[in-house]
Amino acid sequence: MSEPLLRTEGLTRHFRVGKLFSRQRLHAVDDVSFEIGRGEIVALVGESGSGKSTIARLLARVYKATAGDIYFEGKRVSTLRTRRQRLGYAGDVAMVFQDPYSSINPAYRITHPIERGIVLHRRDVARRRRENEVEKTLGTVGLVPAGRVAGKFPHELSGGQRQRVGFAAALAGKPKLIVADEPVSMLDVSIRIGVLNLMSELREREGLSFLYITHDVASARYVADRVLVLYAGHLVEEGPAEDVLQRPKHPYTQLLLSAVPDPRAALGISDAADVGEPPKVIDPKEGCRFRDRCPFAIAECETVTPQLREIGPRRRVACHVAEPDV
Amino acid sequence: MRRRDFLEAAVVRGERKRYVIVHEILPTMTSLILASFLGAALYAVLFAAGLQFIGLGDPNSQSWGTMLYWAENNEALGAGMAYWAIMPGVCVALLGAAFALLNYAFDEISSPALRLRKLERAGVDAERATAVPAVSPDPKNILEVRGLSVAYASEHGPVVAVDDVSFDLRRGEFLGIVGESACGKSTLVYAIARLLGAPLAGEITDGQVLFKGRDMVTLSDRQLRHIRWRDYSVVMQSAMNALNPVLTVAAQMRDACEAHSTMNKRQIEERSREVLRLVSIDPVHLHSYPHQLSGGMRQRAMIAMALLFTPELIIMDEPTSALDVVGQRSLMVQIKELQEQLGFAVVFVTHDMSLVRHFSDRLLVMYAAQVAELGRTAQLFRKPLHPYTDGLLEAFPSIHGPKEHLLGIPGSPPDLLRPPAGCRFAPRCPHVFARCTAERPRLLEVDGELVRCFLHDQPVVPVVEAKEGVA
Repeated sequence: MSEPLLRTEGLTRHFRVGKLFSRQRLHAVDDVSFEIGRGEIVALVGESGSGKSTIARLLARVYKATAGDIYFEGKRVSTLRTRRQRLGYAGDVAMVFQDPYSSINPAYRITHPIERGIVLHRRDVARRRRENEVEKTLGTVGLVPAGRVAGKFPHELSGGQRQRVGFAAALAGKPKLIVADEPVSMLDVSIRIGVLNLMSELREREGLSFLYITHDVASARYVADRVLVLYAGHLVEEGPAEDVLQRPKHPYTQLLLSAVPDPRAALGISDAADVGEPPKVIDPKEGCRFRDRCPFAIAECETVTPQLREIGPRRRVACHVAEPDV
Repeated sequence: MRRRDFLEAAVVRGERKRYVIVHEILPTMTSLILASFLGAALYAVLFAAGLQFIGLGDPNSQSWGTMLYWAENNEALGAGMAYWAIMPGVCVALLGAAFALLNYAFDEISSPALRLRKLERAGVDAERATAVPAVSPDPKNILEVRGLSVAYASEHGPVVAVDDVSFDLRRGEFLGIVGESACGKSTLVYAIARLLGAPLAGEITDGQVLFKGRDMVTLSDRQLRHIRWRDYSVVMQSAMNALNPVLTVAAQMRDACEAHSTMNKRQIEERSREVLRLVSIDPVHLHSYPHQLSGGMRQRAMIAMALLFTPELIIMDEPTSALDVVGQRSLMVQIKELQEQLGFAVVFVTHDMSLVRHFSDRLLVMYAAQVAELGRTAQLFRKPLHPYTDGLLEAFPSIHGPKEHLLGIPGSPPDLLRPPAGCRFAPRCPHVFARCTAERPRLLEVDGELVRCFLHDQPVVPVVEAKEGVA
């Protein structure tokens, strides 16, 4: 297989927690390896606290990895030293934030981040054409009429419109990959679909790749080609979206799916009212991190950390119990 | 500050550190810097005046401080020459006030969000229309809302955020109120709970809220305090903000108990443990601070506080929106169980219809400050009458069945300052026809449900006439 757009190998990030000089380490992301192909939308699914946002920030180089590597177009990201190399990466990998209310600087008009993106990453755009280019970018994300929207301050726009500004700012540098960290979770239901459709559209039209981070499994199924399921910092299942979500193998994926409210499903409260929460993984011992919530846990789960293993075409799961389809 | 998303966004964009500090952080901090500068200046003046007053300054110089000093030394007060002391004192006080006002001005100039919020309360109808008929309330209903309207003041005149909303709530019933943000759903429940206080600046302009037969709108603050929390309680949207971060859960429960009852310390402690157990939080967490609890537990603690007096009505404003799917689900199941166990009625505000699907008895769909549809939940999901409800249902990608392309609802809700002349949903409606843009639809009764849409108002007589014409 040819080199994917982005590949991580054993990506790990620990945080020091507790008091000063404490030696406790929170394992936010542990040994995560995945790939994102060109023009592919990959969904990263998990509960809050599972390490999803940490992965986003690792990819965007806000955090440095404790261990492991990110390869972008075959090049190791941690070896990028010069300003020019790092700027190049920042131009290729953009990020959309979860909270459209805090991710835009309130002191500037909404065109500011878009303009900066163009200034930094598209030197070929002449100064007098910049304004034109900003408006074009606003048009791409459906903020029309761009001329009128451009003069506004963030607080004058609705949440959905702001999130579109977030996408416009990400698009300004003509990236190859956009890391979207829960881009729709704070938006109204009626607007969400619009933003999801925008992602598919950008993929079709501009050939962009997306890492779509979410806890909403149904929306992951709607836009994504492939799904990665994260639990307590570990990748527990991965595969083609339809396959993973219709025939989940890992008990955690099954739990996630059972919690999805489906307005068209038959009436009746489902029996499994799970009150567990993903553990804070501080100095973990060996063993499966899901074992305490898992209905199928066996003795082996207490002592051996399950590794991802192939159970089908492009399908991997980290569970001692899961069986491949017959 | 370092964790602000827009700073992270700048870093991700590839900005240099210097740029981030000068261009991203400084502009947002201007007001803060100016405020501390003015504060320091005022402090310096007061300090200098104080030093000179006790005689530490140059006694030959002319300043307010030395004037006070001489006034005191020469026993001006005793000699009936109080103005010696008053004039410089007044000057110092005026200077302080001037600095404070300057501060506000800088604040407004430097923050674009404040700049535009010059409120003008003109136009909000002060006289409450007396058109509401005095129908005696039905004892089966715990809450009857009749023709309730709420307006906010804005610089362009009043914004009607709740427009003539009426509904009944039976004892022990679960009513879901659904709608997009800014449709007025939160304002509606705040108005019902009489929580439209000063910062919100909303005003009930018309209508009645009959809670157990008493009109809440006309109750005084003292009367309100008697029934608030004891008879009805409110669970706010974000437990993170609603819980005081510097007090333990126990202290906050004690505050609530002391404000609304005469329980003694032991009873309060006991009751607090009891309600925590009700929401399946281990009572050991009673003496934890909010930040020590997880998001789900904080929300449960909020609900526990609402249950302190076992009220007959609990108003919940998006209590689950800060949780993820699994947490939402288990909290909803828990609320439903508690409701069945304790028998209180619930008004549940949410923007997520699927959330209340299996839990609410009836649903009220709000659009642009008005009731779009009101009906039994099951029937509303099976056969939505209003195109907006239909659109909301179609906005959810499904986890089962064939994958289909969804459109959601194109466009955005109307500006409530200038609502469309006809139906407020007409600009976004897929079934719009001539009458929709010309006339305002009224609420119609269709199969026992209420809906505000001309699609269900087929004029019967003209159809017959048309047939006759053909014949």
